[in-house]
Amino acid sequence: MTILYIIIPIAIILASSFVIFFLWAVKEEQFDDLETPAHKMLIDDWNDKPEKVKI
Amino acid sequence: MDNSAVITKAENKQVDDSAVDLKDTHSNCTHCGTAITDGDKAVFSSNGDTFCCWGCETVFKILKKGNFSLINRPSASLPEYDFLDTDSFLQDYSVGVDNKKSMRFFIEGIQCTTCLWIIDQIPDWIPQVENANLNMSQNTLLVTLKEPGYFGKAASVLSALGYKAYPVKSLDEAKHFQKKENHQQLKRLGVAAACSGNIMLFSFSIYSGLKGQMAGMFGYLNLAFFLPILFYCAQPFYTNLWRSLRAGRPSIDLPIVAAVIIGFVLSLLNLIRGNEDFYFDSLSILILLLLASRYFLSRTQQTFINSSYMQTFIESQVCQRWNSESNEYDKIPARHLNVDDKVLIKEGERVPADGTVLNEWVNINPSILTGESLPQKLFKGSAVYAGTQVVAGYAEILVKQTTGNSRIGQILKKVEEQIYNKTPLISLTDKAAQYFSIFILVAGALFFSFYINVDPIEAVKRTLALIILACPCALAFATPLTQSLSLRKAAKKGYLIKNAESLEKLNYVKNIFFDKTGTLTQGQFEFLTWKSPHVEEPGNFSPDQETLDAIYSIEVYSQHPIARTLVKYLEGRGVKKLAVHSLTEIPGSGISGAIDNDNYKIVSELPDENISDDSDIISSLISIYKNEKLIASACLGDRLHSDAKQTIAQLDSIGIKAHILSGDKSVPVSSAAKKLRIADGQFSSNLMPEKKSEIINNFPDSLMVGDGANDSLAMSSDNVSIAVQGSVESCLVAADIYVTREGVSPVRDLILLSQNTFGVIKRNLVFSFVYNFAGGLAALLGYISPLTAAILMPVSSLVVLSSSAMGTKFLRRFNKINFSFNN
Repeated sequence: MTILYIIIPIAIILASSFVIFFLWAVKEEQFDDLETPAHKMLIDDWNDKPEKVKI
Repeated sequence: MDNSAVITKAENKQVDDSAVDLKDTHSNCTHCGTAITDGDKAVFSSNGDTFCCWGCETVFKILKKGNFSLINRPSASLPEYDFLDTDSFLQDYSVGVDNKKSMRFFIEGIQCTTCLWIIDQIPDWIPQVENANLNMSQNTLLVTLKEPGYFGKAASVLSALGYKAYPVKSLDEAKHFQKKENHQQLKRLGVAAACSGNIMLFSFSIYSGLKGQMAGMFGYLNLAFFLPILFYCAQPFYTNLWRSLRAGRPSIDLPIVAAVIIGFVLSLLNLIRGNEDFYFDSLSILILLLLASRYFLSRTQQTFINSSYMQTFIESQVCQRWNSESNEYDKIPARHLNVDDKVLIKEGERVPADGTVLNEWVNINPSILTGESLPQKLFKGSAVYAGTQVVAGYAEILVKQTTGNSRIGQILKKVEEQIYNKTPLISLTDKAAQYFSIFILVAGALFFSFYINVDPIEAVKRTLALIILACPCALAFATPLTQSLSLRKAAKKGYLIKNAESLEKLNYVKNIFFDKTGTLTQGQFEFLTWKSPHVEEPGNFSPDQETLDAIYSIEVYSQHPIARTLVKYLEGRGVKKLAVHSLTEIPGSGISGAIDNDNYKIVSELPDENISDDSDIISSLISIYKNEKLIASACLGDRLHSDAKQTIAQLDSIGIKAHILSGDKSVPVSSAAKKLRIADGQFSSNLMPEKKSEIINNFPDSLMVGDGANDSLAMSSDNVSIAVQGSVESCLVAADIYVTREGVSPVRDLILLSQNTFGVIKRNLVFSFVYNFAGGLAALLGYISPLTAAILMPVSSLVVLSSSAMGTKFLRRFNKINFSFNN
């Protein structure tokens, strides 16, 4: 049972680090728009657009 | 598509040698910009553009055609969006981010990834735009400009692309607060989820029968994880309870807080005494589930259009005022107009204030006030109202009433007042949960005071079991969840429901009032059919080519909208323009002229009221006379939406009566009613906006469906209202529900959705009442210990949760119904 004394602190550290990550993500407004990024992913040349061509 | 303009590589070898060079000079596709690697698939257009495939070439051509030419001219912008760049408007609507001007727009017509792609290209098309950031869950677009730039340009391009853009007021304090509140809620939810998850894990050992010192350790771990929930996550419940107690209306939060505090104290005592009866797990799950349901509900309900964005565009529009000192027209915002100012209004612009016409004549479209489909010709000295649109010629008016005091201004003011006066309906479940929680607390207290003399320890245990078990959280939780699932589903389909109460009200609707022009009909004047002068002649009549040529040649000189519609129709029919002499305008009715030796007269007549064909509405009949003999008639009018008849029949079959309220003349209204099989006495015409609202208020449980400013007053009354696609902004603000899909069928969909939603809610209510009463009784009789109650309670919540989730099956069915109706 002594393993619990190692496992439980690890569990607590893991849990609190996830909570901290979550709070950071909320602060970064990552949850404000849940729909657009899902679509943006589908547009393949998002970051590496070739030179713009004027229509 | 015009194939001759495009030459494939295979063909161009024979046709034009110079085109071969194109392949070397253009290594990138003109449309998508990717390098062309497969020469066989490449397409070369005759004007030197290269495309990687036929698809790109087609899309490029479509984009280049028509409205898209606007994008090529950076200076071009539509005059109707000029007001966006006036100082007074910018003050309220623009936001400064890093010294750059930004404005938020609500965009109508966002559908899918392609819309996102197109809107993301805007900075490439308009050099002045720095950034265009689309938020698809709220349908808003944040446009950031470079210096110098104009928002009007961006809005014009959006409208050229087929989207309608409404500016949204810059994030004021209320909005900032709402955003912070959202983040706060989300943080609480996250912390509660993490803590309750760990508590569940630690409690597992105790449920498995762990005893003694180890159990105590896990108990203290539970306590450690419970403290953030108690002091941080559960805070909204305390503040809500405090607020409701101060208002003298105990809310659902009362038993929740009671259960949390009593449960916490008892668990703490048990922990100190070395007992294993903890309720940390069930309490934390309770808080988590409640927080989650409340968060999802509030997220669903926050749409961007709400009453604080009430802004009359007419007031912000730029207009040209005569300056007698400099002898020229100054551009000023309409709200700065004074009585007795002289204003010039060009074709296509809206009249900024009530006044009288100073020039000879002008054609105006009065539909914003009356909903009437036909333009009116106004002569010198007649009154003209703010908001109406000049459709032909120009108008010079003398201002009699300023914009704010104009008729439309008054209506908008009333709309705004009524919105603020709208009393929120306390939903059924909230009321039920309120009474229920008081009842439980009173029952618990009574039981406790009687039983304490019999067995004090047992009294505490049983009372606690009662409170935990009977806490109407299933009740409070299931309704918002079901509602928010429905709201979300509706939003996905393009129906924006501003609050859950409207969804509830739809359930009780017995009478639906439709506006005619633009709601039941498409709102555009178009050519419908030819009619033979001989009644006995069967359908499919068409005048001979000579007559068509004559009509075209004469009507081309007329500015009247009817003539323009006819000309536009005939232009697509290969007519020739003939020489016309002795053209004369017949005031108020038509035009006459002579071609060779024949005299033609084209006049509009009131249509026959007993038209029996059942396809369209006919609002106007044009008769063509050749040498004083009737040779043909043309029917022009407004087409009914293709789904209107079906929808009204379906509504009738579920016991909902349809009515028409129109500002239009009686003939088109009664013919529309006849075609939709709406009984006599259920339609009225020639209605002013005030009258519409009066009629609606006489019918409880009614629904108003409309699109114009003349409907917005009726919409802002207590009854539920729907604004259809393409509505004016005052309508968007006044209506409870806004539909972004074309046609009338969304009305039926929404009513079905509401009825199904409330079916599920009722099922949940019945379940939770039965559960609470049976469980509460069992707890009082001592059959259920607090621990069992604590386990049973989340189980009951789960049952209700799955009931709600299963209820979403009807939503799938709702889609299917839709599908079969549409086909």
